[in-house]
Amino acid sequence: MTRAQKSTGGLDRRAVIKTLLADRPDDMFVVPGLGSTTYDLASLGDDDRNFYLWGAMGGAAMIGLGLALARPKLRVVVITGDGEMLMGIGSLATIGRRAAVADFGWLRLSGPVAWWLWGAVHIAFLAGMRNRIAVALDWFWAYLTFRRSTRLITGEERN
Amino acid sequence: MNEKRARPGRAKAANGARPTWPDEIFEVLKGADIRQVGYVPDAGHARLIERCHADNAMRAVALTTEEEGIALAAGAWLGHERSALLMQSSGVGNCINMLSLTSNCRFPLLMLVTMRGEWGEFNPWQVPMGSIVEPVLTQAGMRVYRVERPEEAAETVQAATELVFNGDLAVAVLLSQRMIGRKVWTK
Repeated sequence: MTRAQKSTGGLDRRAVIKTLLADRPDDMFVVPGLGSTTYDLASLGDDDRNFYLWGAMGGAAMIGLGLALARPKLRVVVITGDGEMLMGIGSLATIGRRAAVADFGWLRLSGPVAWWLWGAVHIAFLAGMRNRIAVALDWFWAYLTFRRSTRLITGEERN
Repeated sequence: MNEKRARPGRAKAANGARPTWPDEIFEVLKGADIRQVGYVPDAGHARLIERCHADNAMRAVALTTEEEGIALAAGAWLGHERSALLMQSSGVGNCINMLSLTSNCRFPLLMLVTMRGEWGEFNPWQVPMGSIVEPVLTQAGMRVYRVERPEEAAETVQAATELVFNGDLAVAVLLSQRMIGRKVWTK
């Protein structure tokens, strides 16, 4: 077992990244997290479509989001380690807004469709029809009125 | 959740009318072709955030912490889009390490900061961070402008925007608590 395999519980990161990017499409841009994943990515050879990080810990996923929002047609991949991800773990919630994946095996949904579906699943599992209707109405109202951060009290003006 | 995200109310302008400076700032951002706006929910920025959400050409992104916005802005620029970052002074400290991304890569960065811990502040916990925003951001490599009066808001943001995107610089505009209005606690 190599040193890399020991430290990652059996996975050889270099082999993993090589497999992940073996047939890298032209429109795939990659943002690695600081440290090891940056080295791993560079080990495949330099590429203009890589944005290496050697700092900015916790920022990789959000750089990916900014790029993906600016260029929706690109495939943006963020490859990072657990430490880097934990330092910016909230960014997963930021990115996850209106985006989700629902994989049934025979059908794979993603984006807003899956997000709505997960919302419906949540409501279906609530106890009592009254609660289901109340939550559904509450969410729908929040959605319509742009009160997107319904769980955050942001303090609108009061009279 | 800390106090800054709790339920505040805002005093209206002296004449009772809703202040127009948030709308004026919005027009500047719009005119500068800002496409992404990262923000942490904040009463002082509420109107501007609302306008950004309502605009189809803009993408308002609610962040879980302010430093995410620095990285978001970097990603946006990599994708050839201009962005702005809105926060309250209490969130400035969260950004410091991430600003190394901005300065190392010389990314443009436009930050609009609503101030707490100064004029008429009722919460002592806002004072330590609020009172060091300017030196801390300056030390971190940002230019800092300050707005004291509503009529200066739009032109200051305009000047900052030009410096940011034409000069590839990082600029923070501090919107003073006196201008925003004293926070009124509503329970």
